[in-house]
Amino acid sequence: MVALTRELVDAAANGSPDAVRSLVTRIGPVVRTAVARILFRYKSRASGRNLAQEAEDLAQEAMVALFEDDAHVLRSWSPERGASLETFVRLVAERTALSILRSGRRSPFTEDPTDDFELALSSATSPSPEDTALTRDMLVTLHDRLKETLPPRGYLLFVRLFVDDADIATVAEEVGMAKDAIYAWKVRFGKVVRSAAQELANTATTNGGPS
Amino acid sequence: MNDDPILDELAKAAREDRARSEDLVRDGGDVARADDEEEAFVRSVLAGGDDDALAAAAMNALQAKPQQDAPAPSPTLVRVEKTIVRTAAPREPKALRPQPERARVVAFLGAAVALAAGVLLYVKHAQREPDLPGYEAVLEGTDAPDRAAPQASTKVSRGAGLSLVARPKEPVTTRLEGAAFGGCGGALVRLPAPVQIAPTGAARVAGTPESLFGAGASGACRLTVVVAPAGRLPDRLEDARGETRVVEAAFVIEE
Repeated sequence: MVALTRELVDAAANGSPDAVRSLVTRIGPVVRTAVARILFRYKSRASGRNLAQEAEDLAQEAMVALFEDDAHVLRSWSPERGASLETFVRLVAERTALSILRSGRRSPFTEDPTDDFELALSSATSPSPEDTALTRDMLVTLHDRLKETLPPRGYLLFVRLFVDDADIATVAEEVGMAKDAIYAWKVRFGKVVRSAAQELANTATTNGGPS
Repeated sequence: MNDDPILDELAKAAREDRARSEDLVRDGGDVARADDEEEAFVRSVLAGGDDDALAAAAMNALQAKPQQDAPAPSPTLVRVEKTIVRTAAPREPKALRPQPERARVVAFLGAAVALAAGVLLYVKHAQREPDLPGYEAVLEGTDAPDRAAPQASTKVSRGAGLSLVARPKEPVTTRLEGAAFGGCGGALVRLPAPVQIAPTGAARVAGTPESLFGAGASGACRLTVVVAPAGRLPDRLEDARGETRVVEAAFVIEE
């Protein structure tokens, strides 16, 4: 099996068909698993077509996200920054699928700021996250929201700091940032998560369950 | 471990999520446990994956020229934006021939995007300066563009949720009404499907190919949304004039 190296990524990003094919063979299962799991969670938002076909379509969209604009996103991965290529590709695939399935960007009606649902949300009372127990589903949704809304670099920092429990000094060295900057990110994560949890709690109050 | 309980729980959920994904990738398309619906679905997707299509999508994305302000790609959306061009003289689309005595301007939408997607969309209105703004069309629910063959015609599968949205280039405050017309291989007739009007003036008709066109509909079809100020909606498409806006999409309903 071909190793996932920086050289292979560069060759693929530069348009070598053989390198693209080798890379796809390696990352295809990661991409498909990522989009299939997201699609399974949000299948009610799929287009109504065959779910397996929809998953393959989303996988293709994820590949486009990696390779469009001269493979700008793919080139931004660096093995020295702590995240494996599989982790990086999984994040891109998840973000792509979430963006398509959750944002409702396919329909201009859901972008309408006077949408009744939005009005209902804005007028709802706002219990704190602590007042509403975060269920397993809400945590999964919250995690999805982080993947979708944080910049990729930010999410990968979240993974290293909280999921891997790496210390600030280690992460700072990995990503080439000052320890103060990493600490600032850590504080920011707390705020972002609390804000997202608040929003989920509001939605749960309005709808009777997590979005 | 950290001081914030929400972050703590979230990290735990993220750890489990990652481990599950890694397990699924590692185990490939093996037979799933009967009691795990998600796992069974993921495994079916893994087993049925087409690496040639993924590689073709990657190569096509690499070869595509970057476009400023281009809409984000979507597998089931055909969107045409900012491409309305008003011609000085009337211009007659083949399928919707206007009456000679009713001078019209035909605005042709979406040369690049629509042609690339194999979709014809247009707006027509009277030569007089209209009160309604130009409209753009968004066709949703088509099959995903084949990344390996991006020039292929837009296709719609039976049973798919299909909608055509006519969206104004700027919000409309006038009270509007809408009607849908459509047909496959013949004249466009008024469809019973209701047209919803959004507060912004956008209009939408939605359904499945079967509910919109009838159970036997197939082949080259067209779907049209007509928008007009309340009380001025024409009964026939041929009578659309003045402030009326007509947005149309052409596609193929697959057998």
